Amino acid sequence: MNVLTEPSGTRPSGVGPSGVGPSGTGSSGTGDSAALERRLLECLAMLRRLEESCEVPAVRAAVRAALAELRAALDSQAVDFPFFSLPAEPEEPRPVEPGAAGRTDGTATGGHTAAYATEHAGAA
Amino acid sequence: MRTLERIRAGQTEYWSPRIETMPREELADWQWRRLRHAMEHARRNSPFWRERLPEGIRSLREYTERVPLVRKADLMTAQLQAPPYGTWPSADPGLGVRYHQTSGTSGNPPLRTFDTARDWAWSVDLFCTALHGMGVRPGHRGMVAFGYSLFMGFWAMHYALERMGCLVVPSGGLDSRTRIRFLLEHRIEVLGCTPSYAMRLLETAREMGVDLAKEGNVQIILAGAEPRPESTTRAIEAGFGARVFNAAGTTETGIVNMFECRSGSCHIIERGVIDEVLDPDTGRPVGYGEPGIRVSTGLGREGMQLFRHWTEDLVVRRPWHECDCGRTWDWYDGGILRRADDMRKIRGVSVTPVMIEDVMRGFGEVNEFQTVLRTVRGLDTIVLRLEPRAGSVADPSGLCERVADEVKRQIGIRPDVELVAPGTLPRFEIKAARFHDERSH
Repeated sequence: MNVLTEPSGTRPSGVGPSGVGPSGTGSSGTGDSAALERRLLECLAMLRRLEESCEVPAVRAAVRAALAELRAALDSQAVDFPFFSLPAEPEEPRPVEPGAAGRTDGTATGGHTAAYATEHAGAA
Repeated sequence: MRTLERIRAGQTEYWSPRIETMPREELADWQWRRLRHAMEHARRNSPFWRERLPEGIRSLREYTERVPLVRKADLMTAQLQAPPYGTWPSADPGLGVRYHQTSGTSGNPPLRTFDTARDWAWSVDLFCTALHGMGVRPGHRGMVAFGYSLFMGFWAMHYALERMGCLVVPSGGLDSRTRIRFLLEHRIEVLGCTPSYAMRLLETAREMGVDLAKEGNVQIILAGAEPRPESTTRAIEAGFGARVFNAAGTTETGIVNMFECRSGSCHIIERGVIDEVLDPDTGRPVGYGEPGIRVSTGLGREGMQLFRHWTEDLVVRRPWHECDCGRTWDWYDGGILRRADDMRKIRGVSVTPVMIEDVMRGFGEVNEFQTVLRTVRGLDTIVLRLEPRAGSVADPSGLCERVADEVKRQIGIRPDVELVAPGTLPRFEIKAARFHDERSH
């Protein structure tokens, strides 16, 4: 059996979490998960809007840090979302805010758009 | 009021219940969707991966059949084309917020990596998965005992403890005696270090007249980054009076990718990696219960991605339902058993550092040891250098005889045994190097 691509059996009775998981009814049950996922995605959209519109360095840094953390949270919930945030198409490098991508020449490189660089920069 | 009890209330056994207990078929579907996205990101942004990842892969099975294995040497070659990172990265290195590198042993240049802020947040979250699964909870006090330098090892543990709401003592610049004092004074409950360094702390405590099992408060020890025999785990547990948990990761994947749950199984963190186990000779997949080499694909790092990395780690994979913790993640029996490239043939007998260590842990009067393989009068020979605990050996030649007999009994070769003065042999904080092959061939 290919252990990578084939299911490896079912959960024996008595094994597994109570109140959580696949058949549980606790905080990670399907209904609650969907609601949690929706709220997380709403937060993501709101933070992205805030990041784009706010020019206060302290706030932008905090928002970017929050975006990085929220991305991990969405991943932990197995939410399908653009995890790698690919640029739509490779573009010519465009000027970005000085220092926004940690570079001194004011450009993003490697085929990334300025928006991509801005979203990723300085979140630590 | 925001109390610790309130923060801890309602916490489940799992850090991320949904993905840790996801039905297996659903997990495979999710992994495939993430992998597809990761490959798209890599092909678009990394010249290295663009050459190696074929287009039009339609399934996980096809992925394992068509994508070539990547070894450390391939990554090194890519880096040397344009140092420091070469053609490997899938993101502009200017987006990096952390730098790490491998130890660069044997005179080889180190493998250099960076993490973007998003990479690091994700990596830390995976480490939280491991710590939570071991029983770490908000309010615990932790110490991470390593050098806080270029080695990636325990950095993520420090940040994960912070993220979980634990107090963490950054002990990077402290010597072993000071660390022991901190363990006692701050009633540290969670300790992270290598197995070798845990043994070193026990040795230091003994020298200080401290019984950590009685006077300390450590309850959970994450002892990772090195293969070790079960006898070493038992010695650490007895010395600290604590439960020892296994964990492993690689600088190449940039994450912790295996941890031991409270049921004692070393689960693959399948949220972060897709692991295959392949026969070391044929490269074909092996089944559950059969030893093979771990091949890892990273699912979340955006800066330095990894697809089908041949790790050299020897593992035996077991199905998830053979563990009663409830996670649907498969696990490795005994964790990383050893490095495949660590095995040496001595007069036709396979010998590894872990095998020697397992024997030596049976001799409590030996503080530290070193194994040297030499050619003596044309014959491959194991030379064992032992450092006895001060004042503990009344009959040195008797100890040498007993050690030689036991190595012969367990491994099949009688070594030459030498005693050295206490404090002579090196101690290790990371990546213990007790095994030296000085043979000419």
